[in-house]
Amino acid sequence: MLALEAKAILSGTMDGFRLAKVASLREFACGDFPVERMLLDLRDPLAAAHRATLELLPWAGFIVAPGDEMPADRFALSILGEAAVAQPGDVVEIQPERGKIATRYRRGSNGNVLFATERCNSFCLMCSQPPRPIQDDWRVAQLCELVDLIDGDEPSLAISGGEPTLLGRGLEQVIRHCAARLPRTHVHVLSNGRRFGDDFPAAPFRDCHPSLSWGIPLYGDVASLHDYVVQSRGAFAQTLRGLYALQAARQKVELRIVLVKPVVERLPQIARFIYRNLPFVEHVALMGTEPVGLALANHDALWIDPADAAPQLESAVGMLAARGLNVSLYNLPLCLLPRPLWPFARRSISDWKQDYLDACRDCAVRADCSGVFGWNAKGWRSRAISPIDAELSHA
Amino acid sequence: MHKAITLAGGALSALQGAVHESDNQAAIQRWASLAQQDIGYAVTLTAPLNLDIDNLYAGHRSHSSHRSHSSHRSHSSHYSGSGGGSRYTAPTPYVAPRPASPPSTTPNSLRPSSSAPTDPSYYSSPTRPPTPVRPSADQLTLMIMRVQAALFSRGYDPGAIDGVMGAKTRSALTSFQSAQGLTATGTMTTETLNALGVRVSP
Repeated sequence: MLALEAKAILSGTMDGFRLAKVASLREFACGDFPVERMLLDLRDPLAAAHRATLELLPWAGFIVAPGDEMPADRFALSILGEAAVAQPGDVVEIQPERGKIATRYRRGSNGNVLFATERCNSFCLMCSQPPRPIQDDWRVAQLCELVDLIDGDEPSLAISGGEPTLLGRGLEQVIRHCAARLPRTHVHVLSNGRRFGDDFPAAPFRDCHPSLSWGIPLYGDVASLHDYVVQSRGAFAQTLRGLYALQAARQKVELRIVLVKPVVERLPQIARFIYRNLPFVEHVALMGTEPVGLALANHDALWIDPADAAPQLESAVGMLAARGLNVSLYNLPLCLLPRPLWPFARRSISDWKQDYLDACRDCAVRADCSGVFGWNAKGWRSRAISPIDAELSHA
Repeated sequence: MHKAITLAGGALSALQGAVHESDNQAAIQRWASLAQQDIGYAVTLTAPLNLDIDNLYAGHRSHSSHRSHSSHRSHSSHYSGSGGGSRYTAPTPYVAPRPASPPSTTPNSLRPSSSAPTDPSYYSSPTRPPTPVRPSADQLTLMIMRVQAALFSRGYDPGAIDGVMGAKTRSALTSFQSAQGLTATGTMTTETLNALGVRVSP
């Protein structure tokens, strides 16, 4: 697990902004971002060697190695925790009130998220990010500020929450900002789609961004199951209407199905439902549960060892793939899957929270395997995790 | 556009295949179809960093020669380091110089004869061709500092990161250009800036 924030000694204040890009000499030389929005990383010996002249520039501030002298009358910080929370190219948020800095964009990571809101209109049993009913529309402005500091060659970003559509027009504003500033970056919005089935128009997203897709969860082929999993009456009907509204607005949709016990039990029926009612979706992702947040509290209702889900997985994946739908398995280690399902398994866990177990050390297919979530959660580990030996892996 | 590049890449590799195994049509077909399939996942080939940009830093040879422009003299000590603690000031926006006296649209016959200019060319071409905006001394200094930083981070030694185009910086530029197979001018040509990863930006 990579830390996303660290305690820091802060000296002075950063004018006007909370976010800044970490710069080595290379970022300075490139000039993609104004000096005024960058923190010069003086932990780099090369930058430190030229400190005297570089300090004359109007940097947002400086990062100095622990124990080193801070530039006088300027904003500067020294990281007390894990130094890796701020590497050149990253964007960090300065939190003077907490005496911390937090990574808001990590260069090279596959898991960068624009966190849209803490609010949600669902209350899913396995929510990894339990919602809070707070007013946080300020995030729109801060996300636009963040987007300004993200590398232009970033391949993909997710917009997540909470429920991003609760930002209203703010969501469109953030996506349009991405289109203007990061036109080559794919944007994937994780939404439950319910508002599109209600009062929120999908049409404005039609020409919003050159590469935009939506990840929408579906937890049942019948309302009672879906509404139970998301703990919201009427959600199934809204999500379905939302899916059709998104399709009418020519949006790319990925269906995301989290493999909690009651969903696994009806997985073949859900697959059939998707083929018959939602054949236009770009992708169907069947996802292992992330053992964090509310999932921990609802262990008994949700937990099924993925090894025991093999028959349902084979049936559902086979059914969808045979009918030409794109299917993937996320967050499921290869050793838990029947061999015919291996081609569908993806290394889907974001790098900062992906982990392997001791048992994985000698595994021949580790490099192709999703591994497990780094959350150390009791009762969420399959009994069947075991190394694949080299001969078997080629079978 | 990157789709076109990917397709071109596919076609190129197909051609290469044709040279080595001239009768292998199947391989060519296969490469072409692979290129087609890969379009959606293609790594975007970026255009050179500074494309279609008027690089007004390219002609700059040394810091001292720049001082001859009297309009920039007031900035020339910024960044120099020798000033000791002088801080950067944001570059002021460029204001186009006014003509010495604005050409009048008043017909000649209505002017008092005493003030009518005798030179007939005075009235010709009241609009001047646009001159490219020259970087200010601060912008130039910042640009040189960025080039020096790029040279250091690539293992060359331009002496200091001080924004002065001195002998060491010129010679580091020349070494870098030679090593990269570029024309060794010792100046900040566009191709050199591209190779250094330095964007021409105001």
